[in-house]
Amino acid sequence: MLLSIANVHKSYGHIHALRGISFEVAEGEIVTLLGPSGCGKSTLLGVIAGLEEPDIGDIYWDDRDLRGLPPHKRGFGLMFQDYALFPHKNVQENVAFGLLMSKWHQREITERVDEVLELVGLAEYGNRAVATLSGGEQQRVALARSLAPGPDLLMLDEPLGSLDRTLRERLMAELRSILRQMEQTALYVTHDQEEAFALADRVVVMNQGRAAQIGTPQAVYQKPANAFVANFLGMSNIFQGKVQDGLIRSPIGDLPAPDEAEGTIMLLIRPDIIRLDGSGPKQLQGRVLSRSFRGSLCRLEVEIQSHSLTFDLPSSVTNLPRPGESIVLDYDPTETLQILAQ
Amino acid sequence: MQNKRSVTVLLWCAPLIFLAIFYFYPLGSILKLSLARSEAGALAPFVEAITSPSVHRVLGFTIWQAFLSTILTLLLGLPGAYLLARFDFRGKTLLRALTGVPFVMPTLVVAASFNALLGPHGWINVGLMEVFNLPEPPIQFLNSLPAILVAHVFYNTTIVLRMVGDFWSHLDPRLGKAAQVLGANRWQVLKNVTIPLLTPVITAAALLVFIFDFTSFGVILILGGPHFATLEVEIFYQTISLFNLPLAAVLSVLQLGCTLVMTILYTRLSAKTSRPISLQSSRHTQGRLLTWQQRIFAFGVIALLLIILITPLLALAGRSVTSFGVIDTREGSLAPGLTLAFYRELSINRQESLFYAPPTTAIGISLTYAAATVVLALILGLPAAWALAQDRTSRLNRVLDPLLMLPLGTSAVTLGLGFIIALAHPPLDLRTSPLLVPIAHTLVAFPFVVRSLTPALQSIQPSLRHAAAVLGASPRQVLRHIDLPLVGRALLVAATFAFTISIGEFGATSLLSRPEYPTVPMAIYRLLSRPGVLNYGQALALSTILMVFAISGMLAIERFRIADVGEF
Amino acid sequence: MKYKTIITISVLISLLAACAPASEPEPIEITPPEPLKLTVMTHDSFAISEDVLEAFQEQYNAEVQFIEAGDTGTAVNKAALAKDKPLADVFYGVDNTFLSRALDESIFEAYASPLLADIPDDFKLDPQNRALPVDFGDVCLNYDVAYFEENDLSPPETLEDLLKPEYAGLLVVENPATSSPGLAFLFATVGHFGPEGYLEFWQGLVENDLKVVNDWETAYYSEFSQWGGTRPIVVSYGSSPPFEVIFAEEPIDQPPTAAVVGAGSCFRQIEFVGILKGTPNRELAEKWVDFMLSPTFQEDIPLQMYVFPVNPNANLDKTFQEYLATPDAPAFLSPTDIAAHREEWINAWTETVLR
Repeated sequence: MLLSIANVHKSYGHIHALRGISFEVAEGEIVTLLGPSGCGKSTLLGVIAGLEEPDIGDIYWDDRDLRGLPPHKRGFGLMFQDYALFPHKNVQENVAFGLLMSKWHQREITERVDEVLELVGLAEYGNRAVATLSGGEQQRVALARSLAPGPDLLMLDEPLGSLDRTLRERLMAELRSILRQMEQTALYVTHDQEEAFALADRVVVMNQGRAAQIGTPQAVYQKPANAFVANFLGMSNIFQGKVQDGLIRSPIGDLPAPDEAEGTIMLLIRPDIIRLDGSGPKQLQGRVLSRSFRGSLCRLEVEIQSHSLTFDLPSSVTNLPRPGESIVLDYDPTETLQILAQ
Repeated sequence: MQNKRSVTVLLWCAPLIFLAIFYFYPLGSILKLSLARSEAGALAPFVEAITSPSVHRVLGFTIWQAFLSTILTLLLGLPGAYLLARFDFRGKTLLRALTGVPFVMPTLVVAASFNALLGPHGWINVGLMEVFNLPEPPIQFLNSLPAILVAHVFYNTTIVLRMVGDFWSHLDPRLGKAAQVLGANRWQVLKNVTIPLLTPVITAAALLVFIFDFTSFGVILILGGPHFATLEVEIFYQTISLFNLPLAAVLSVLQLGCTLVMTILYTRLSAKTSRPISLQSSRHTQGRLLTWQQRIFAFGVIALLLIILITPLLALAGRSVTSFGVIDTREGSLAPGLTLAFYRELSINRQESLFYAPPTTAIGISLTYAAATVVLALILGLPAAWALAQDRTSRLNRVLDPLLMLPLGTSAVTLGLGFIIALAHPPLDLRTSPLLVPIAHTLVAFPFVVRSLTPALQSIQPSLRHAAAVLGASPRQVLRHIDLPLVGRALLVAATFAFTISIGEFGATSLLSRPEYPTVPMAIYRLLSRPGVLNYGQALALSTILMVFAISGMLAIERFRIADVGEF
Repeated sequence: MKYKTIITISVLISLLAACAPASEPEPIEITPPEPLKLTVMTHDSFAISEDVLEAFQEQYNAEVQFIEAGDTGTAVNKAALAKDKPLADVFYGVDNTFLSRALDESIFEAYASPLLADIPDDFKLDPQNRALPVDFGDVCLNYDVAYFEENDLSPPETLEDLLKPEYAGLLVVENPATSSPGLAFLFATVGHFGPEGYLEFWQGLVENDLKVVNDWETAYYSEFSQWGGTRPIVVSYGSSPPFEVIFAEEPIDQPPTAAVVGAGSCFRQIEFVGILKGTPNRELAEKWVDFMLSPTFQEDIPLQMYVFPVNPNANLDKTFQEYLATPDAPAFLSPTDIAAHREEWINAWTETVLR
């Protein structure tokens, strides 16, 4: 493993930003750190970059202990959330900065700057003052600047955070292709699961300074490890239940229990694996509270046993009931019902 | 946290040592010695001052004229601040620069300017006498309360323009729009949104103006005339004419006390109004003059500013190139007899005097003192500003910040005499050293330097330093490539402030300078105090040259201002 | 934008660089052995010709450094405050209105210069010779000659004349509290009318529409009708008329102003030099005092400092011989009287005239 983080703690006074997080990043891998604001993502980047010293814990790069090594000797790149472009330097000077610091020759610097500006689609922008750039353009300059020195590890802190949706989606795609093209080892921080899943080889979901789940985007999405991850991914149909006699006794009624389940469990009813075609094998009955159109999906809020659950159905389904009407949902317990870690 | 605090303490060391040696020690020495001279004990002069009706009268007048002057300054300054904050128009930079010029002109020159414009023989009176065929000059301006008030407005309007204008230009106009959408009309927006947001900065500006008016000396003495005395004038009078040092000391303490209260209030308020700069904000907050109402408003404000702040200086410059013989009204002639005789005369050493300084030399000496002041003020101001930028609200900074401004409220006479008795022993025997002049100038320039630098230092986002570090810059390289260039322009602004203040300073210089090194204001004073029109004309010519320097300095400040950094 | 900044900076820097050498003092030619240093403290009106100073420096192989200590009052105060560790070896510039303060503070060492023999006794106000007279100037009323000619009015000849109705609204004087000629003129009235009578005179002046300003510059250049003001009579110096000739814009042969020199209407200011107590250079300091009393320096005085030599052996410039009015009998007050009553007189004057 290239980067290895083990049991890192960091606190500021009474605030514990990191509480023993551990994970690893392999060469050429793109790992995203996904979590709500305040979960310690940015602190973790600061610790890896060397801007912060961890209280305890190990950080190794290629089996080399990074603790105590100042940021400018780590050879990493960091793209800041606010881009942190140098306001007194133009685009070209911003991008050249890292190269200048590692004492490249002037000719190589010019070539390299042109190359990366080309890569981010700002070939003509070299002489522009950064204050005259739009948000998207600034973001590309910041990316170009962090890419230019060819960092061993590129860290990106919410790089698309403040941009509007269309721009975000376009830049997300571009970013992905650029990172792949350069086979860049990258650590990407975001609070947006779409972004995280679109870019990542592996996702680290963070909660309160710890890794709540680590896995491929598919694995995380298909099998959230715990209530926090499920909730964060927008799956809110979570209930406590008791397994008794092969049944889960839950607030919304008795549901079939998987074989391995026993005792008190946390149950997730996946909102996305559900049908209305009467095909069973199991069914839930309720009343539609509301219906909202979400593009390719349609979200239903359904009252079952006086509890409100949400379900996402393809918009292509034609016979969606209206609010107030009763509904019968077909599901397969092995797919739809998931037992979460406590 | 502990670490940050010790950094702050360390940064304060040099500026505080300087203030201790060159301000508090001399001031303390002269006050102690003065009170010790009281035959009836050190308390007696305090009792004398408290019970003396003339001290009451002086204190009352000092406060009253400062109050009136401050109100008038705000009346002119606030519309001007609005204009500069919200509109973009051609010549704005020049306007800002011109309005800053009065601030750095020595009182002697200002008095000569007002005399050239409004004196019995000034352009206006001569013109009116000519047009209406009057036997006497109709306007009696010199030696009156209006002269004091107008001169104070002349000096201090730029403070309001700069402090309030800069802050206002960063107020998001969308706040007002939001209020309008919520149903507020223009006046309600002004009353409920704009004014509450501006109150701290307006109060801070008003306080600073009040401090300057409160400690006014030359304006009161020369333009106000014998019927008016402020505390500062009374201190001068008690010290020099009567040698009543104990009473002078008590008055100095009184003035310092008042100044301290005001500087504490001022620094509290200005800490509240400081904000990180935003590079694009003025693009969003300023518009062109579109409607005719806006144009009329702009025209009116600009005209008023130019009339009050610039015409006296123009009158002086005009007088310096006009032959005195031909504008004598008794001969009924107003023909402008232009002459450069006074400028030519400046470079002739008619008396072969040892202390004669051709204008180039006086300018050279002024520039050398100014350069020394710049270096000293920056060396001391930078760490102090850095410390303040760490955390404006820390207890240490809250105590020290107002102290930096105290020299502004200290009588030059008192401090000058303080230097004589305090700096008498090696290794500090500087009494005859030309170094004393830049040291005294630094005391005056110091608060301006600190206040120009602090916001710039505060505005450097830590992420910029981090970004540079991650890109491979060592701490020293970060300082060189990020901090210095970013503060660089603020440094230039601060330097220019120190420079122009030093160029125009007269009060302290006249007490400390060496005759073979006359500064430009000193040379003007020498010429002005001699009979003979050629001497007077030369004084005007040299004043005009000084004015040109002040304008260049102010234009340089405008040039380097980065998105309105600086608190005044 | 960036280039402009660079240009501006480089212009500033080159300006600074260009001016730096200009400020260096003229290097004084030094002949070995090492010259003796002498420090002379003066008021801010002191001036001297280069060649006159050079003569002294060469003769005694000395290097003289001057310290300017502000106006007369400030300079005396500085000398008094610094007496424990004097600022200089010699102090020149205390006048008879401040002499008592200087003597009371005992800042001087006595020195009976041999040149005192040449100097009229009228000038020697300190019998112990701690302060030695150097020059004098008369503070007198000046009037605008043209004004009186045009209005067919005869100029005033005495102080009493000023109370006449035809001189109403014609006089401007300086505030004695803030101006040296103003104070001297107050002393002239005290000397002439006596401590009992001077206030009555001033009361009369007030009733005759007197104008008061704080400083000589305002009185002379703003209010005096010669320079466009409205007042044709001003308190100035007896020497002002000849200087109007010397410093005329275009050469003229008659001064446009004249001084009133009637009995008791002027006050004579005499300026003194003294050796500061505790000087380590007593010998050279004595030489300097002798030099200031010698004709070489004394003849240099009028055109440098606008006052006149006390040494009758000094020859005066032609312009002065022609136009300098010498008062018949200047008013006299002893320095002791002045010291004892200065504050009282000024305060009484302020009450009478300004309130």
